[in-house]
Amino acid sequence: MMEYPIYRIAKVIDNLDEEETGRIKVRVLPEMNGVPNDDLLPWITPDSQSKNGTSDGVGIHNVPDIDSHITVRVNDKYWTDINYLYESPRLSSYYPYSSFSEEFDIDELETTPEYPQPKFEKTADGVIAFHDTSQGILGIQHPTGAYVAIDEKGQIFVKFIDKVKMKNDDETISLELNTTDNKVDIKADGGEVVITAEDFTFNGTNYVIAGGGDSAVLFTPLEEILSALLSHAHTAPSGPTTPAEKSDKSPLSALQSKLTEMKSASTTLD
Amino acid sequence: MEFNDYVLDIVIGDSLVEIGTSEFSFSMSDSIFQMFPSFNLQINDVAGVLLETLAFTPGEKVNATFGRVGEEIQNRYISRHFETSEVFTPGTLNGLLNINNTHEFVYFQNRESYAYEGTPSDVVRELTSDYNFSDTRIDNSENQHIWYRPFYTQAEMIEKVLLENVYSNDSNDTPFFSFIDNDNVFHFESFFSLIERSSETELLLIPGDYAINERNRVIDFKPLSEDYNSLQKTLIYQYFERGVDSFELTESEKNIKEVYPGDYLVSQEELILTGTEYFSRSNIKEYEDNVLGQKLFNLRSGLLTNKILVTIPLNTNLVAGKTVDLVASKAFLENENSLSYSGKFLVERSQHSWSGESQNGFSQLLLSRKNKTVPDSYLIKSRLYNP
Repeated sequence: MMEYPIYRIAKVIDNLDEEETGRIKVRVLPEMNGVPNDDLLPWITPDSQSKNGTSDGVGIHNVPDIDSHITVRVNDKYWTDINYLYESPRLSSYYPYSSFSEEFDIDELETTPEYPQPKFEKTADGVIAFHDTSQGILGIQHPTGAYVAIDEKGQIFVKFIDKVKMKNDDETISLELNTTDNKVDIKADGGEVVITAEDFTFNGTNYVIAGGGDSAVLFTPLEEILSALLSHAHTAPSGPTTPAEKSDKSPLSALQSKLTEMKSASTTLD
Repeated sequence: MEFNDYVLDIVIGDSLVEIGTSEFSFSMSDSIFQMFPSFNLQINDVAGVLLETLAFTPGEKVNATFGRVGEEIQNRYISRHFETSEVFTPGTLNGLLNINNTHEFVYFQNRESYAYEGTPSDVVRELTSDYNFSDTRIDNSENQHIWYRPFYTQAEMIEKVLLENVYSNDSNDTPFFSFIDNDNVFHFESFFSLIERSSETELLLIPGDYAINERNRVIDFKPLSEDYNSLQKTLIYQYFERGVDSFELTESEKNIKEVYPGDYLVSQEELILTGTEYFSRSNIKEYEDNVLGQKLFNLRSGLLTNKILVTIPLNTNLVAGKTVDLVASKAFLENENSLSYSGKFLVERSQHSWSGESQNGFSQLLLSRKNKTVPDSYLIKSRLYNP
């Protein structure tokens, strides 16, 4: 007579629990090999849904994928009470550590985890969530090569493929780095972007200044300077001669017109 | 062959055992607590001829027909064990042969993986449909759902799973029994069904000599009881719906303790604290029925506490599951019957024997019923089922 509970491997047949309570439909192997159709297979509950030692709303949600193989515990000889156990998804017949060391690729980390570290979970889609508990290195690596990692010094490294975006709820404030058109977009609707530094260096071929109105802070002082220059009457003895005043006024007027035009619309400065 | 008023036919393999009626003895036995009836045969093989000619191989088919003429019962068996228990003449093949046989249904057992949807009764019908019983008596039951068969044989599936869970609204809250009787009838019936059936005959315990053709005369009368240990079952493990903050036993938990006669109590620490949502299935009808069935199954040992072993002249009509009216007279008071031992009894076990030595047939019956006269001082009276 077999002593219950017993542990078995089971294949996940369905995981779309209508009650959303983490139940999955399984075929327990080998005892349910002969069950003639999937409709007769049992929906079983996760083992860790016991409230023992926890409180409401605390726990793990980790529903196994369809066609994955998991460990189940059959609690009674009537086979009416079966739970599945939380664990890393089983990858048939092979242990995933070697694939981890081959695929783990975060250049910025000064210290690479060594066996048996890190603890990680690699899922069927190739996502690796790792945590080197001996050094405090953790992160997530995506099969595309993207990753987020924190090293033992607390440095955070992010690698993205096409886009990274941070935003608030209504997206009035956002920061977007987009590799499709090599664009960094900082937005603060109705607010301001403040960059504080001693020195600013802008290295570019073209500069675009967008927006109109008096709030375009760059134009206001320029316009004031030009106005002052154009209205200069040479009353002071140290002023230039009259012929000279006439010859200078024409290009300055042209520059003022250009600035006025730029204030009303986005313009490219050549 | 016919001998006096008896029919005695034994076929081993394809060979009819043709020896003198004094050279063999046998018994056909069944029990309401046992799925497979048995047939034990003892042969004085004086010349060693039978040992030479009959194939006493485990698995050999053995057919037995036994009874008074016109009342004989017939059953099919499979040879389970054979040995020469005594050698008459050293250096020869002769000796006393013992052949133990079990009902043939055991030969049809398969370990299969399967799932059945229906009530336990539906599943039992399906499990027994391939075998040619002379009759089947299967009570209808509740708890309809999916029953898994994880490489259990048909008998294991019935005994370990279905019998322990079956519940019927028509059973008057009594447990089920499943067995094959000496007449090759398959039973899956509640105690209520068995005991409510009209009595097959009246058996008389009266002083004085008896004649072998007095078929309702009790020759031997031996009251007995089960060992108390058999009434004390194991711990009851039961899931209860309890919040994490509740450490008091609920009324339903206390009730569980009360309905299991003789069982050890479940201590508070052994209860499992669970979230209600994950064991809410205990509120589902079919699982409620399962729990009821399991409670009733545990009553079986304590159900039949009044037992008498009686021997009567051969009456093969009285097989396990039949009922009889016992009339036990008080020897010291003529025409007054014993209140303690008279009344309707269930045949719990029957053993129909042919004695080669006396050239007669006898039936030994274990008659049982619920104890009607439990004294107040009886320790588990309060927990006896419906005393």
